[in-house]
Amino acid sequence: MRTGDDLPGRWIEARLLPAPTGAGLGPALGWLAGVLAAGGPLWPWPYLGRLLLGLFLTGAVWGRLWILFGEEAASADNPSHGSPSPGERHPAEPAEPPEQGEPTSLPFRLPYTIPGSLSAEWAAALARAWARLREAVERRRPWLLEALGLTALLLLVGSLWGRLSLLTAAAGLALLLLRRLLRGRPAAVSLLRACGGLAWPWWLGHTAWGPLAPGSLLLSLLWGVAYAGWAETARVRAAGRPLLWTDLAQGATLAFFLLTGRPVVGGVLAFTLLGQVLLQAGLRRAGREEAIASRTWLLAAAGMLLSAVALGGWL
Amino acid sequence: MDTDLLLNLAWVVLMSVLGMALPVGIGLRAARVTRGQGPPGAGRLLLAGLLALLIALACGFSLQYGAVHLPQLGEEARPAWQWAPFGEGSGILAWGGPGLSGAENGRMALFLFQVAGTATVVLLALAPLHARLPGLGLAAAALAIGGLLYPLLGHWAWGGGWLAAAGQMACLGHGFADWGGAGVHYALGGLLALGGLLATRTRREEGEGESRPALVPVLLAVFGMTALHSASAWAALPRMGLVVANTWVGSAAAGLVAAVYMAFTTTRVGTPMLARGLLAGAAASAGLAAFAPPTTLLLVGAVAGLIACLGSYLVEQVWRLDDPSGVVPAFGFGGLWGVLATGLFADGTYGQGLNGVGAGRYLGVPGQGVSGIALLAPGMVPDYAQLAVQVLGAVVILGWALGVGWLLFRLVSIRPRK
Repeated sequence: MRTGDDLPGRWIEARLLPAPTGAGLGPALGWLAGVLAAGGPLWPWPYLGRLLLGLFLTGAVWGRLWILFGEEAASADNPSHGSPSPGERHPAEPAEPPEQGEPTSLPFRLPYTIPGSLSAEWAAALARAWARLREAVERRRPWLLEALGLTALLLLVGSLWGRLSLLTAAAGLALLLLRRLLRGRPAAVSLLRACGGLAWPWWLGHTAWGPLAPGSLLLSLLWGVAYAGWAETARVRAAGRPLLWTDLAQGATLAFFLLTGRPVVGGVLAFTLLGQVLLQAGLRRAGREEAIASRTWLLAAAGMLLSAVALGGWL
Repeated sequence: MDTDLLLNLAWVVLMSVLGMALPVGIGLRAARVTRGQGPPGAGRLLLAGLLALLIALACGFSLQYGAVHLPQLGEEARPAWQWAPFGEGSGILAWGGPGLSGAENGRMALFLFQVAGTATVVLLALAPLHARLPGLGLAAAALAIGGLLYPLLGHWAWGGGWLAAAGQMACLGHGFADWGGAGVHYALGGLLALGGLLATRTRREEGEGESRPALVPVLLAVFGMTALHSASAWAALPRMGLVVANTWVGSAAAGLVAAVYMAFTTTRVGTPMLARGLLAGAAASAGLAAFAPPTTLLLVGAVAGLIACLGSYLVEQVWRLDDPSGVVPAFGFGGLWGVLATGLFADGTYGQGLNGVGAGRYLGVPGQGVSGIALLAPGMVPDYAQLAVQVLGAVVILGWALGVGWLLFRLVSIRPRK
């Protein structure tokens, strides 16, 4: 939303933008699957409340954090700046650090510190870091405030559900930081998308009800890979290797149930997978590869929830 | 005379005599590092020490320990007078008679401990000022401190006075606990010196510093502190080994931290600060030497080392007071830290029945003694009331030393000598 001085006849212009991949539905479904896989009660109210709060936490809070820390944030920070002219500092670049040993800029200096001492060097390094941090905060204050607030909320809610959930929430923050650090590296981004987009909400959902079981961990990772492949397919709007990863991961899930002696569940999963494969082939033949992700996600989600229900002993 | 009694007597006498190394070390160090063109410092300080001994004999000892009964040293019940204006447990003043007339062997032994304590406090208070006070003023200050200021505080904390009785009367833990005199000896002496520096407006000149670290007197002082801490139970106890070890561990940790701090900030180890650290660590250790394991004293000593450095900076660079021997940061601040550390880190395994509190069971735990709030022994529960009474004691010492000390030195100091 922005005020429109340059838009005659309108005071305010509102635009609806599609949420980037990673936000919203995937994490929320992951949470739901984790809860179902834990096999815990969903009633009375406290359990249902926890379920709904988790949906909000993973769908809205986690999704937003995922965007903030991801590669989308880099472009969101400076949406309209062009390339800087030669000699001009890019807005995203940190300010020049103060000269080493500059006494006036030191935020803190230990008593007795003299120039040339280790303490003076540390103080100068601290001053440079402080200057960078201050500039970063000033430049990206809204981003930082939002991220800090949401992080605090995540940890607070995680702490309400016990130590395991708190640890899982903390692990999620580590994932976020990794995502921030590794943005721009496609392989790492895909792997992190598999973990953070679906597997982590699954873990949080499971640990909110009980300790994470090995089977649940394995399935969460497989579905995470499937989700990452689907998200990449949706992003590039074309069928390619990521789609193959989606199908292979679902095939592995199917094999898991067959090997663990639950052929009925495996059979139903085979139907959902077959449906997706047929849809993919049909859309490819029709030259509508961009619609593959939107047409197949419902079947994949149904398969995931079904596997979680089976794992939780609901069937 | 049975063996236990003889052993107790021998222990207290021997340790008190060895404890005299502390005032000797303080005096030698002060005389060596003090600048100025006054008369020889060692002689003036020796004079002050002798006056302290005499005034302790005349009235100080009686004021401080007049109400104390010493069965562990074989003393029979004896008449004593205590002024407690608000009833039992509010003792302000005691009197056990002039001098040592009629005193038995046990009381004589305790007198030796009193002499070492009095000389310590007097020399600490006069260490940065002795070259600037007129002779009469120096003598008057020594007499006032040794005959009134120290004995009164000593009575409150150790002689059955109101601070010691705060546990029984106001449910404040075991009452004020100060094993070896972190507050009663060191904080009082160091802060009296601070009061004197403020009262006499003794400012530090630009570029002045402790050029001669005088390490031998420092080691002598630490030796004396070890002995005094060992004598502080007025008996020979199995814990004496722990008390000695704790004093040394605390002192060593503080010295090391102070040296590392100076190396970090100035590129040199800084022997003067090492000396102050050693003293500050030993002073802080006095508070809980018998109440905590050596691992805790490592922490307490390390903090004391930092306090010595930061306190020295505060006194010399910020307030610009002339304290060349560093008694204010090392003993004043270090001792105060020792008082507080007792309320924080006493582990609860010792001090059962101290000041008449919790001889059998305390806070619902059988055998729990003086306890802080952290680093407790297994099974002990935190005692926030003990921390409260330690804070109260620290505030009282601070107020007493700075308030009355300031007034005293205003009276006895006429002009700084040129």
